[in-house]
Amino acid sequence: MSFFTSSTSAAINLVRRFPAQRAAKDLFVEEEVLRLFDLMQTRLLRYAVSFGISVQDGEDIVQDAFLALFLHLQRGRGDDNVCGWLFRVTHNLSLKRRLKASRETVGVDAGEAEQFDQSSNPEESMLFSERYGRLQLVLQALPLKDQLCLRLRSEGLRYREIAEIVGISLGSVSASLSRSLARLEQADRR
Amino acid sequence: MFARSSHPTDEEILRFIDHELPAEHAERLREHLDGCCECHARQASIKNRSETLDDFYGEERIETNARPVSRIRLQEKLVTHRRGRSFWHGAIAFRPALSTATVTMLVAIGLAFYVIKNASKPRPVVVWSFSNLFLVPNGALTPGAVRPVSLQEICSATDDDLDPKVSLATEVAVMKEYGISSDATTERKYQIDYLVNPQLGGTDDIRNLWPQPYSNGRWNAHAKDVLERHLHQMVCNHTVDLAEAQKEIAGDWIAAYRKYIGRQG
Repeated sequence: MSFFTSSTSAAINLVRRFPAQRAAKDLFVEEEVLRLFDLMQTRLLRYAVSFGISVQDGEDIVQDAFLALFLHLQRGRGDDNVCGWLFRVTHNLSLKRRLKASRETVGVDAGEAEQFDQSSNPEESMLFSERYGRLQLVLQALPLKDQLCLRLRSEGLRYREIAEIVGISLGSVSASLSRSLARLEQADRR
Repeated sequence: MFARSSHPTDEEILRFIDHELPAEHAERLREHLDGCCECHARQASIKNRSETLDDFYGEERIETNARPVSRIRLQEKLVTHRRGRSFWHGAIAFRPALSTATVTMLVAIGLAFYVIKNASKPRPVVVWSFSNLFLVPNGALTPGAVRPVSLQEICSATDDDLDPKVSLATEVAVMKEYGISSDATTERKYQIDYLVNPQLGGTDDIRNLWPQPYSNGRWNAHAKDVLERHLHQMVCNHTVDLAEAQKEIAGDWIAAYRKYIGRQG
């Protein structure tokens, strides 16, 4: 009985102290998540929009990804590679959103080319098109998975991380990248 | 393996450029590239195409006028979650209406469950999971600190140790400041890194030190070392002003890496 009493009072003391410590940790996690948001939100938004969804939907997805990160960390779960984790979550949320949009609207993919550069001024749009017009067309003709592999590689992710995010094997990432770059080269020669 | 009669494939060359080949394989390929003009040209072409692609993605424009709003929205959601959680903790633990007996019983059940669950396994070292986020240091904790140095002093120095060892006390203090168990260093997860490296005038002041993860994909301690060497070279070649280099590496070293090295590193 005495054991029960002392344990219980110790536990109650712990519970009393716990909210304060947890609040401090949560605040710290919150600050870290916001800091990471500042660092990565544009990269993730670009990735989300590359699925052919609207910028507004892309922003919602990025918000959800960071909220998921906050909850993930709040629960004490860690990940050795937060950057890869965020891309993975953004990838899954974007796929879901894309699927939902394609069910709701027919021909939603037709707007893919307009997702980027839609609001910059006409002069900038023209310069971009002049410089990269052909490249843009070739990229859009690639299968989505190949496009995603190229984009993630450009973001500096390792092949292993790309494989995890896109859900394909390591060898497929390597083959996809090589195949896509060869296609770009062929298009250049024409 | 790569005799002149057996050239590497484009895929192998790409993996070589991206540092995705096993070391031994990469070394053989490097030797082949050095002696084969044809493959050397292939490498240059693939690299060039890949850089064009990087530029393309880098210049894509998305209207992000809403950026501050997005941040505010996220912050509001985080605060709501944080407060929601605090409320429930407060409500359960301290609501006077709950009888002491109820609280005691709940705590006893919880304790029993915890003891049963954890008794058989060793207690893990607690490393705050968000410590993995330290791609760049927290500006409030690590703004960077430099000593007054001349260009001559910096460029004539022979010591090329980018991360001179700091005292154990300093190391522990830095880890503690970032909420990381100091045991993590022994697992080689982090190195105590100089934000501004000594070769660019950085000091071992705690304001210039932070725990940088070795992992975290591309943006790890090894990548920062590459940037540090590159910037030092640029400063000594008078390509970049010393103060500018210090400012850029202290501000956002990943942005500095992208600016000065791009994907070549």
